[in-house]
Amino acid sequence: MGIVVLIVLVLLALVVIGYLVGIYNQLIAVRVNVDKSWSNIEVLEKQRYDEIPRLVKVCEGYMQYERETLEKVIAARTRYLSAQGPAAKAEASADMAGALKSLFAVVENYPELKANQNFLQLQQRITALENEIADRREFYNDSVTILNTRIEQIPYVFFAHMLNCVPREMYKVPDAERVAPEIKFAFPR
Amino acid sequence: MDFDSQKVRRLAIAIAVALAAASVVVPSGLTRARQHLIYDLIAFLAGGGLIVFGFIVLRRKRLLENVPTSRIRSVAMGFAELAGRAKNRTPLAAPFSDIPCVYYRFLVEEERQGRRGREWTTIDQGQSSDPFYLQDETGALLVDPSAAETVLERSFRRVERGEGWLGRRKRVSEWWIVPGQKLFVAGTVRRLRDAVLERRVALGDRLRALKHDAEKMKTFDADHDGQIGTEEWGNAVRAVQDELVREEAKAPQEPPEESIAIGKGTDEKTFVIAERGERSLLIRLGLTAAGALLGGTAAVVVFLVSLLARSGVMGGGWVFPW
Repeated sequence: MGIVVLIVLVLLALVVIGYLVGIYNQLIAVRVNVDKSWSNIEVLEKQRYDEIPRLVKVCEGYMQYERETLEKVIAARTRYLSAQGPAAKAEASADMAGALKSLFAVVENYPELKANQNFLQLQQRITALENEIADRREFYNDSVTILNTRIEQIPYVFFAHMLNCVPREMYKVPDAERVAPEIKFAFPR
Repeated sequence: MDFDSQKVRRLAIAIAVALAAASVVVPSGLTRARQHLIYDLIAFLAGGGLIVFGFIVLRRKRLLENVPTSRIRSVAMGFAELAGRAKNRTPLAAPFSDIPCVYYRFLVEEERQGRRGREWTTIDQGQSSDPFYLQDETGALLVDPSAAETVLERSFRRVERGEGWLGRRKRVSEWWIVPGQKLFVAGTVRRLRDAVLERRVALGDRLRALKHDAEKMKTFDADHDGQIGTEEWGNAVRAVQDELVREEAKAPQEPPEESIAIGKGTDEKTFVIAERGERSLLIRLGLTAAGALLGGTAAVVVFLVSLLARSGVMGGGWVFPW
């Protein structure tokens, strides 16, 4: 009888070990997913970053009097390159998006540039990239939510301590972006 | 619904076939006790198989739980989950009902006399492999349904009388995905065209052609010394690049939904197309995994005890009454 109990215990132990290995692997997978989704934002940010010199090159021929606007775009691009971590990257990325928005607003005053095929193509591409980046930030936050929830849940919490899994930082919209734009109406009272 | 229930059915059929084969293969000269010993062994191994299957389902459940749903326009290459509506790419109709659809699966069974009365035996089955679109509010992409595991409610069933007096009855079943139907798809997203590589190849071709065109090369010889210096060559490369960009801008754009597809991956084999949402799929997977793990463990313990008692290792123990 003793041998049966022993074999049954060994089998049950194998099932439990298999379950625990699954939990460990899941925590690793969730952590890797967060890293991957962060890298996937950076891939698109890099594409937007690469388009900026081409955009500036196209614009500078038409916008001799808008040196400051173009320089702001270049400066935002440089700041993005040196930013580290989600918060700093978010801020630099928002700066870059803001500088690009100002540039596209100023372009309204240059009909010849607005009609330039290369400019239009670049503008469309950058706008599409902005939308994709916004989607991927949401995806990153979803991945972080899954990780942060998982490491607080039983039985994952025990493994999370062993693996030194700490909650990750969400991608937050910088405070400057949350301020509602001041709109002045030029209608006569 | 053929996702997990189909696998469980296959496993049950495999066990039944193994037991039936054992009753044939086991020499008739063996005593009944010996035959039962072999049955116990097969059932014990089947329990082990059920545990392995439970872990496979559990792994899939965890995989789906851990990946958030992407939007189509920004989906990254690799394993992804998408939700949207089906849209036709090519006209398609289900083979027996003739219903217009984007995907179908069919099963033809024949009624035969089995050991336990009349049974339906599969005589033909298949599925469509035409790609279709999955569309959400941000865009569309191709779905390659080959090798997909589908979780669909049966859409059609017809029983046909056999030909002649002794003709066997046939039962035809179909599962469809119709245009506009809501879908949840989890699989590997891949790019069908590599635009960067294509641009690089085109640039290489243009530069090679330029080198063989003496007249054109002269236009880049800024200092007129009859040779193209490093700076002059750089200008030539930039000019060709600009030319390619201009041509690209003028060329008719390929619809973005044709550039990426979701299907079965080479590393991650999970590829599910479900008409229900992710939540109900996860509940199903959880129940299947729990059932397989508990059932498998119970079978292993029960048949191990029976096996040891029958083989004499454990004297006077309980045996399974085959």
